[in-house]
Amino acid sequence: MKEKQVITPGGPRPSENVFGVPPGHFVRRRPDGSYVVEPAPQSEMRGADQGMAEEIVITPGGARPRARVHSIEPEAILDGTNGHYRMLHPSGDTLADFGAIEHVSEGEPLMPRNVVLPSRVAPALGSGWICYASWNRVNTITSFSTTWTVPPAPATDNGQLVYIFNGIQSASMIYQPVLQWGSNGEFGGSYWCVASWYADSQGGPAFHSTPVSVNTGDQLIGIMTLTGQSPQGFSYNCEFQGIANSGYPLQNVPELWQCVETLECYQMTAATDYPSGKTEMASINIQTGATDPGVVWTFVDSVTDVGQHILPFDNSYSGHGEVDIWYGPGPYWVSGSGTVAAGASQQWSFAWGGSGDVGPQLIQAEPLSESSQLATAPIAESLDSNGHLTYYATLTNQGSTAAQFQWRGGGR
Amino acid sequence: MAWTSGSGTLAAGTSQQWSFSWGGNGDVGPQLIQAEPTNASGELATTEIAEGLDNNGHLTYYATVENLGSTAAQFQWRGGGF
Repeated sequence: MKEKQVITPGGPRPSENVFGVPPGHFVRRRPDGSYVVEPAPQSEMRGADQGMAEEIVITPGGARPRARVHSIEPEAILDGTNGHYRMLHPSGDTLADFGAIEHVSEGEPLMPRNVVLPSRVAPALGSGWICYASWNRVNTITSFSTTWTVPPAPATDNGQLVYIFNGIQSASMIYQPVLQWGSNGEFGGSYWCVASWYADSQGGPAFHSTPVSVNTGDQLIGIMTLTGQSPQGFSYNCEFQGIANSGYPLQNVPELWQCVETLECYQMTAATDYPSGKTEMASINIQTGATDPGVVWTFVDSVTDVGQHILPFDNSYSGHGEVDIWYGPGPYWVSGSGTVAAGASQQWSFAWGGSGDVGPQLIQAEPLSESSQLATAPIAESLDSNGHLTYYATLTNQGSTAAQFQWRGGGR
Repeated sequence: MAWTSGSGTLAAGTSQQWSFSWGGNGDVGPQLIQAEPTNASGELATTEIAEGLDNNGHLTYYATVENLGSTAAQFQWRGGGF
């Protein structure tokens, strides 16, 4: 007998794999990677059903009960020996005991699949990880830094929450120096501030440093560094370079193996709730000890309701790499990418729907590899026997090494 | 945004490549760049536009102009993007 199929978002699947989540319940991922539907914790229930918004904090990673959000005191250390988390004084004395956090040793990266969207408000626009770039290491990440400039404040203030960060994560936890605009229920407001976070999934524990206010135009350097490795685990530091108490050390935790550059937002109601323009996540430097990390980013635009997107600009990863986070549509289109050998030429075609006619188009190949130069000429148009117009552009690599590129263009 | 930048003189039948650079990471998106003759009977072709990414992560634009006329030509560069 043929099994019953249900066509869900994401495609058809057997009916026994489709589950309803009753009101007041949530989905929790078990350490073995399986999922279970459980009643929501009492504090979440109160926040959702009685409007006690102060009970829920929207941290990077989404909503979680305030009781699970912990501040790490300046100069203290977060210790995760044997999966049991404690805040330690530099002397080694225990300042707070947070209990055990179950770790998943294998599998997919923690985020964005474990983002918990707040239930108390239905915003007009999408929430969670809006767009991001990710890369999985081959060898242990020993350092990851990114430089960016604090953007202008959003034009409108509708209670939105904007997080911008680079970070490193595993299947269980994420460690990240985060720029924030808006209140998360614990700290922040209608201004920019920074803090470092180490966070679990599915409403689990999250630990943050003392927030520090920053100003539009300030240059931020978010850096994570491997400080030790022993049988008890990996030790890291995370901070905004040059900003006192903007991070805290983390010791004896499972390895963090994926680098990300991310825009994460909540309670967005209008395009103007975003900053304008773009943020250049620049001077990217990723090191994996003495080995070449060979970074190849994967780009994901999860929410595009106001044209948000992320694009490569410089594929370097040794100090000059850059990916750009756009808060709305770009002024030109970007389509297609590839690699061209030194001295070689490639002709590409560009087709639009309908008659294909989008007027005169300026089309140029943008190099993504450092020390490369690409010429674009000529640009052609052809009309086929079906009356469809197609555009063509030819690029030539004028450099001495192979070059990666993407196409950009536009018309009027 | 349209711009005008740089001027020069080009002998008959010869070519010159010029570079155009902006601040920050240098990226101002796709740019149409053309040489405009500024003396009578000048005929100039802009034969190539290129983009180069240096090893500091800075993007620079290049354009090549060729004098198709029989006498030296004065010109200025004009361009614009989106």
